[in-house]
Amino acid sequence: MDKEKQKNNTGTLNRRDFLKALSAIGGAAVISSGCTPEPLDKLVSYAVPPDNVIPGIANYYTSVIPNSPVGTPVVVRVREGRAIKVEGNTNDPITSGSTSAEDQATLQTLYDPDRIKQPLFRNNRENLTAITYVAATDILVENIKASSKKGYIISNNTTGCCDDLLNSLAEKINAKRIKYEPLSYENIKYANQISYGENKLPTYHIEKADYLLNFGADFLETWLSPSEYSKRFTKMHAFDGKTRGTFIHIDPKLTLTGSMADEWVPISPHKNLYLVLGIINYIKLNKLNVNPIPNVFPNLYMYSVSETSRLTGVPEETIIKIAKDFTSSKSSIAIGGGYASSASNDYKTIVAINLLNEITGNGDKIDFDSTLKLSDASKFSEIKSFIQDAKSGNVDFVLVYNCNPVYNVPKSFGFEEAFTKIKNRVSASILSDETTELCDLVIPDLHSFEKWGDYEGKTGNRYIMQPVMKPLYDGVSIEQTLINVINRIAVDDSNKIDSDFYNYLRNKWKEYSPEGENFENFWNKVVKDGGIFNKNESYSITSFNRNLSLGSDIEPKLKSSNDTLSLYITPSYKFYDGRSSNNSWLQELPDLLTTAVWDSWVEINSNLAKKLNIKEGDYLEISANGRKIITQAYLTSAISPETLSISMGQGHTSMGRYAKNRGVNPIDLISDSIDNKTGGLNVFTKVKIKKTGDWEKLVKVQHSYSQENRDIVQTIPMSKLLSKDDHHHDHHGGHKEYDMYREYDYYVHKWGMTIDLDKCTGCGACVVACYAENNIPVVGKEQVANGRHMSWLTLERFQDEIKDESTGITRIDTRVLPQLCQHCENAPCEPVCPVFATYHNPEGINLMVYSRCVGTRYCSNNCSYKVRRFNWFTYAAPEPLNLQLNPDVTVRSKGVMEKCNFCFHKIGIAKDKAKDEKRKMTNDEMPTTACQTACGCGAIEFGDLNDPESKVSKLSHDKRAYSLLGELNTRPSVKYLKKIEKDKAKA
Amino acid sequence: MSNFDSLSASEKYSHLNETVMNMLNKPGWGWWAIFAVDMMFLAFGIYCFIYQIYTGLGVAGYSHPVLWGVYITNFVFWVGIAHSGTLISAVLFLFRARFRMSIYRIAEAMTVFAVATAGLFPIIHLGRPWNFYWLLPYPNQRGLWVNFDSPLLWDVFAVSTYATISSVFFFIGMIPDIAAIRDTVVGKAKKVFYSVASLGWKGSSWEWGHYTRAYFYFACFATPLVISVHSVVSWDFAMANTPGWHTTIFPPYFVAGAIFSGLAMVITLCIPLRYIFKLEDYITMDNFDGMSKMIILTSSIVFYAYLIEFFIAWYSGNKYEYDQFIYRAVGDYALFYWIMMFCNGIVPHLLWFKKIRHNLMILFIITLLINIGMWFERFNIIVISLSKEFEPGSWGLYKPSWVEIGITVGSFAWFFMFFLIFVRTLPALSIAEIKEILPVPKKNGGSSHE
Repeated sequence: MDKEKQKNNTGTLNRRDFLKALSAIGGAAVISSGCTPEPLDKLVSYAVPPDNVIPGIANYYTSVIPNSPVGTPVVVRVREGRAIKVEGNTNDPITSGSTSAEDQATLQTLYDPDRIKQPLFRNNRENLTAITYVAATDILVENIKASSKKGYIISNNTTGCCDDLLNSLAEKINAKRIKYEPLSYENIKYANQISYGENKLPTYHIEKADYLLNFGADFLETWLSPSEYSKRFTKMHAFDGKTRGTFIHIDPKLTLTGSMADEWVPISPHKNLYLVLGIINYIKLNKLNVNPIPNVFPNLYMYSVSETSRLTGVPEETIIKIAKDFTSSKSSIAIGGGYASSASNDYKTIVAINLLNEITGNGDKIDFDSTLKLSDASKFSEIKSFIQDAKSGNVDFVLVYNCNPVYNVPKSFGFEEAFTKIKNRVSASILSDETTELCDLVIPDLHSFEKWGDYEGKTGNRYIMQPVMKPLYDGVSIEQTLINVINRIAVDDSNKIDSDFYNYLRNKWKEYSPEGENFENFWNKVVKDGGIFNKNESYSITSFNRNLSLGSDIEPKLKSSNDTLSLYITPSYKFYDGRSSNNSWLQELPDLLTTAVWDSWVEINSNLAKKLNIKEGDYLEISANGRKIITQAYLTSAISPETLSISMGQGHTSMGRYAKNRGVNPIDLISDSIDNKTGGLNVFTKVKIKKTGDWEKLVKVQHSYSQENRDIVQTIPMSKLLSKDDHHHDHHGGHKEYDMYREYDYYVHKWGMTIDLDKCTGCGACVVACYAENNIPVVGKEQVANGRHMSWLTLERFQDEIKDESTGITRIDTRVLPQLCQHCENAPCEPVCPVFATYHNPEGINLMVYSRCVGTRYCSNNCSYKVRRFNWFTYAAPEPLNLQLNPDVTVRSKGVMEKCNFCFHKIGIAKDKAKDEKRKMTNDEMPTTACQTACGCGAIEFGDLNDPESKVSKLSHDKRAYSLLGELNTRPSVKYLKKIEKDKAKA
Repeated sequence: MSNFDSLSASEKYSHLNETVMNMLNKPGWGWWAIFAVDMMFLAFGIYCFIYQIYTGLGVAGYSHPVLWGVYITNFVFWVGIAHSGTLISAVLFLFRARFRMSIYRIAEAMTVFAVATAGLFPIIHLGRPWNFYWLLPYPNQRGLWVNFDSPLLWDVFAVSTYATISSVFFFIGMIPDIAAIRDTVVGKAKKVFYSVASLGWKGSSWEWGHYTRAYFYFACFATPLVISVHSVVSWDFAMANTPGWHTTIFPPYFVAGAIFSGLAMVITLCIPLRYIFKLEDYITMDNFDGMSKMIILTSSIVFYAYLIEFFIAWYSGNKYEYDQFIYRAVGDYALFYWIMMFCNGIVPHLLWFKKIRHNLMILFIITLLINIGMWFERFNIIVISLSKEFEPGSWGLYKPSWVEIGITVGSFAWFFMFFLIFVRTLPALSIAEIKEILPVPKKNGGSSHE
C-alpha cells in the first residue's frame, strides 16, 4: 500500500514541480560553477530504497569487535548501508555499554584507505600482485598439498567458530597452532597455576574491596580486560554517598591508572617482589594476618622493613602504612602483573601477591569460574620453538592470521630471518602489516562489521558477530575461506563440513540453545541481543595451595646503582600492542598523560634529565642488547629516576600511511631471554642513553601542565563532603546581579551536562567518540604542532607537584579535565560575533551556524574556556574514510569556527520521534551525547535541567558541583563534580 | 636658489606656485625606480593574499589559542597612523595652530591612505574573506541581520565613517589648489583631470566665503572622529573578557597612542619629502618642533598607560590580570614588550632637548623607532594576552608565517604606492593656506615690508 502510494507520488510530478526542480538545479549549477569556493558534489538519492532502509533514519545492529583480547560487544549505527558509529552493547554485563577509544576507532579500520582490497600473490620473488580469490584459494590448497614438512598456523587468540575452523584446518594438515598474543600474562597464569592450580587469568573482584593495592597493573588501560576493570574500579572507588575505596598504585611510572590512585608509590623497577615480601613479613611480625602464613618464601625473614625500603626505594613509613591499611581495611585486594614488569621470575611477585591476599583473608575476591579467554593464548616459548624449527628448515608452510609477530616479537629472536626461510608463507589480514609483507600469498579477511562470526571474551559470554553492512571490497571472510580450503583438501565427503559459514555458525550455536526452545527464536534473540551473556556474578572460591614452597632461591640483591637505567615498555591504550596503529583518530588522540600525538617519545625523570643536560624534545639514543632506537625525550617527575618509559605501538615499517615510519618500537630492544618456568618473555631490559644532539619540538596538544593555582580542577575533602553543613558557596547560578542582558527563558528544555571528575579516568574514549559522531577532521602531526587539533572535547591534564608542609614529601597531583563547550548562559562568544553565526538557542545550547560564519574568530578569543576550533584548511580524509561521515552532521569547510554542540542532531532525532507521535519525550528517549555513551565510568551525565527529577538536574545541584571559572559569571550549562580528596588527617 | 626670506612677497607667491608645480612635473628615474620596487613588494603581498584565500587561513601562523595576530596588529597600527591626519588638519585648524599649514596636506593624504590600508586587514584576516559583505547590514531576502552587540560591527561603522569623512575633507581642502594647478598645467589629459577635480572652482569671493565656512564645519565634524574611531577600535579588545584586554583605560590610551604614532609617521614622511623636493622654505623647523612637542605629550600619556596597567593588575587583585602582566614582562614575548617600552616610553623623551628636535637625522630615527614601538604595542596587546588566558591547559604560542609577513610588507607597499602617486599628481603643499601666512603682495608688485 505504502509502496503504491510512493509510486503514485513520484508519478505525479507536474509541470510546476518540474520547473521548480529545474530552477533549483540551475541555481545549484551556477553556485557550484561560480560562487562557492568548494565544488559541490552531486547527491543521488535512492530511487527505490531497500526494504529495511528509510533514508535519513539510522539502523542499529549488534556485533562484536574482536580486537582487544576480551572483545567488545557493540551496537553499530548504520545509515544508508554504511556503519557510521559504534556504541557499546548495554546487554553485556562486562562492559555494560561502554567502549574504549580503540573500539570507537575501529570504524577507521573498517574504512582504512590502506586495506588490502583483493588477494595478493608474489610470483618468483617479485612484488605482491593482485589475483582473484579463486586463484588465491587454488594456490593455498596447492601449498598445503605440497607441504611435506611441518606446518604452523599462527594467529591471535581466536575464539569461537574461527578458532574451531583454524583448529580443524591445523588438524587436517597436521600443522601446529600458535595463538600468539604479545600480552598474554604467562607470569600470572603460571603463578595461579602453582598457587591455585588454575593456569588461568581470573576475574579479580576489585569492586568488592575497599582497599586496592596495585603492583603495576595498568588495569584501566590494557591489563587483562580494561573496560571491565574500569567498571569494577568505578564501583569500588566512586563515592556512594557515604564512603569510597582507597587505591594505592605501586609502579616505577605514574601511568594513567596510577593517576587515578589516591597515592602513587614510586618504586625502583622490578622490585615489586621485595615490597610484597616486606609487607608480608611486616604482617607476619605484627601478627596482622587472618589466615596462617604458609612457608612459601622460606627466606621471608630477610625482608625487614628497613631492608625492603633499601631494596625498593619505598620509604619505611609507606611500607608500614600499606601493611597496616591493607590488613585493617574491611576488605582489601592486591593485584599485579603488568606487561612492563613481566621480567624473569616475576611470577614470584604474583605468587607473593596471591599469598598476601590469602593470609589477609582476601583470596575470596579471585574468581576462577569466570576466566578470560586470553588464558588460552600460547606461551611465548612456543614462538621461540617455532623460530628454532623454522631456522633449522623443518617448516615449509605457515599461515598467519590477524597477528603481527614480525613487528612485535623482539628482533633479538630473529623471527623475520626464520620466517623468511619457510617456503610457503600465507597471510590472512586486513592490513598489509610487517608480517603480511613477508608472505607470498595474502588473502584479505573482512572486518568484523562485514562478516558473520562469534567471539567469546570471557567464559560464558559469547557474542555474535553480525555483518552490519556489505563488504567494502568484495571479499570473503577468513572463516569462509577456511571452510573452502578444508573442504577442498578433504579426502572424501565424510570429512567435509558445512560449505556455508553462516550455516556452520548456526549449527555451532545450536549447542548453546537452551533445551526445548525453538532454535529460530533463540537465534533471532541472540542476534538481536548481541549474544549470550553470563549475568551470574556468583562464583566459588578457589583455595590457595598451602604446601607451595618456592625454595630459598630469592636473594635480596643489592640496589641497582644509579647509572643503570631500565626500560619500562608500556602497552598502549590506543594501539594496544601496535595492532591499531594505522588509525588516524587514535594517532591524533593525545597520549593520556603526556598529550603527545602521532609519534613516540621516551619519558625520563626530570631530575635525571637535568643531570644529563637533556631537555624536552632532545633526541636520545637508547641502546640495549646491541640494538638502538632514537626518539625524543619527554621530561616528567612522574617516573622513577631509574626508569625510562616508551609506549608500544609505533615504529611500524609497514601497515599503512598512518602507522608507517612513525616513532619507534621499544620491543626491538628486548633481549632474547625467556622465563623457563612461565614460558613468558623477559621484558626487563637494561638500557643506556646518549644524546644525539638533535632537537625538535615534541608535538603535544597541551603545553602547560600546571594549574597555576587557578583551581581549574577542584577537589573536595571527604570530611567536608560528609559534613552536614550544607553551606557551600559555589557559583551555581552565577551572579545574577551583575548581568547586563536579560535572562533567557527556557520554556521546554534546558540541556545541561555534569562531568564527575572523581569518576573520570581520562581514558579518551569520549574524545574518539566525538570524532566519530561529529565528523571532526584529523589534521595530522604538523598541524597539531601548530596548535590546530580539532577535537571538540579535549582531556586536559594538570600535574602539579604539591609539597606537603608537614612531611616535606612532594607528591604529584594529577588531575584530568574533560574540556568542552560549556554552553554558557552568559556566553562570551555570543555577543561578539558580528553576524550571529553563534547564538543561544531556546533550549540553552550555544550553536554554531557554519554557513553564516565568516571567520572573524572573535568568538574564540573571547571564549574563557578556549573550546572553539577553527577550520584553518578544508580537511578531507582520504577515501573511503569519507564513508564513515555522519550524514546528520555538516562537514565543515575552511574558514569557519566549530565546537561542541551537545550532539544537537541527536537531540533533534530524539525530539522528532516524540513529536511525530504527538507526545512528550519519555525519560528513556532523552537524547544522549556521544561522549556520554562512550564513557565507561559513567562520569558524564546529560539531560534536561528544566526537569528537576532528571539525573543531571540533581547532580548539578550536588554538593560537589561547581562551574569552571565560575567567577567569570559565564554561568555554564556544564557542571563539574569535584574530585574527592582523602582527608589528610585520616591518611 | 636664493634665500627665500630675501624674496619679495609676490616672488614668494610665485615661488610657492612653482615649487608645487615642480612636484607635479614628469617624474624622473628615481621616482620610477622607487615606484617599481614598491610595486614588486605589493605584488608579493597580493600573491600572499591570493595564496591564503586559495589554501585557507592556515597558511598564516595562527596557533590555538592565539587566533588574532599580525593582521589585526596591522589593522590597529594603520588605523592609528590615520589619526594624526585629522588631528593636524581639523583639530589644529580649529585651534588655529600655525605650524599645521604646510604639513596638513601630507598628513591628510597619509590619513586617507592609511585608512585605505587599514580597511583591508579586517577582510584579509577573515576565514572566509569572500563573505566580508555579510558584516554590512544590507537588506536581504533571507532576513539575515548583523549583530549590533558586536564591537566588530562598531568597527565597521567607525572605520567606514572615518574613511568617508577624511577623504571628503581631504578633497575639499584641495579644491582651490587643484584649480590653481588646472590654470597652469600643460597637456590635454591633465587639463581635463584637474578641471573635473576642481569642480569648476573660479576663486570668486562668494566661493571663498562658502568654502571657508564648509571647511570649518567639516573640521568640526571630523574632530570627534579623532576620539571616536580609535576608541571604538580599542573596544574590540576592551569589550572582550580576555585578561590584558578587558580594561577601561583602553579608549584614551588607544587614542593617545594613535596620535602618537600618527605624528611620528608624518615626521617620518615629511623629512625625506622636504629633502627631495627642497621644501625647506615651507616645511620649517617650527613645524617639526611643534609636532615633536606633541609627541612628547602623547608619549607621556602612553607611557603612563603602560605603567598604570601594571598598577591596576596588581591593585585589582585579579589573578588572571596579574599573571598576564607578569607574563608580558618576563614571558615568551618579553623581548617585544621591552622593545615597545624602550621605543615608546624612553626614546621620545630625547625630544625634550631642542638640539635633538632640530636635528632631522636623529628626529627621523626617533620617529622610525616610535613606529616600530607602536606596531609592537598592538602586537603585544593582541598576541600576549591571547596566548595566556584563563585556562592554563589551553595556552599556546604564536609565530607569524611568511604569508603574514608578506602581506604586511605588501600593506606598506600599498600605502606607499598611494603616497608616491599622490606627491606626483596632487598638491602636497596647500598653496591656498600657505599663502595665508605669507605676506600679501601689493598690486604694484612691491613687497609689503612692515
